[in-house]
Amino acid sequence: MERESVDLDAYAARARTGSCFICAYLDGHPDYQHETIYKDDAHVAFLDRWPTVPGKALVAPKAHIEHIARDLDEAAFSSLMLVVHRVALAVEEVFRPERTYLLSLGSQQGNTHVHWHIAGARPASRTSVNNFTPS
Amino acid sequence: MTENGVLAPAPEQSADMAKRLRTSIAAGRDRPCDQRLEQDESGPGCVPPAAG
Repeated sequence: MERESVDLDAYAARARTGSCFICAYLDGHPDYQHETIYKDDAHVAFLDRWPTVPGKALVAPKAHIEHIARDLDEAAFSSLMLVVHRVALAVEEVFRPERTYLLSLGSQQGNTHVHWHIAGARPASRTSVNNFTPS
Repeated sequence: MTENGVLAPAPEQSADMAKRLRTSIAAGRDRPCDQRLEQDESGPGCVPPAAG
């Protein structure tokens, strides 16, 4: 699979000023299409459009929630984490990574909608301190 | 720019990865466990064997 460079400044600007990419994806906006891998009444999981490793997946609540702790009660948080676990197990089964990184993202600096990144790292992977995802 | 950039999977590659992940997710608790783990009958995935 080919790699291409990415302009992180342009990405950051888009994340700060653009539409919520998760809500746009859920609304079917043609510029925000992703491969859906799981959905239920409250959650959705899909492939990262700009993955750093094969099969890098995102899990998000369908509701536009911006705070991972205070916007979710225990039941909703547990339900979300069960989906993260289920998708992470699938990533491990399909891609056989050496280890799996889980990272909760969504901040007021950009891409506010809470979402979890699931990234399976290969044995030779190095971890970028800048984006906390293995490459 | 990230050190190694990002992957650029072809549409058919993404579709294939998504299909395999959907199949695995749908398999849920029937997924084979690592030898260090044992099947959890109560939920998705696997859990470590009880200590002791």
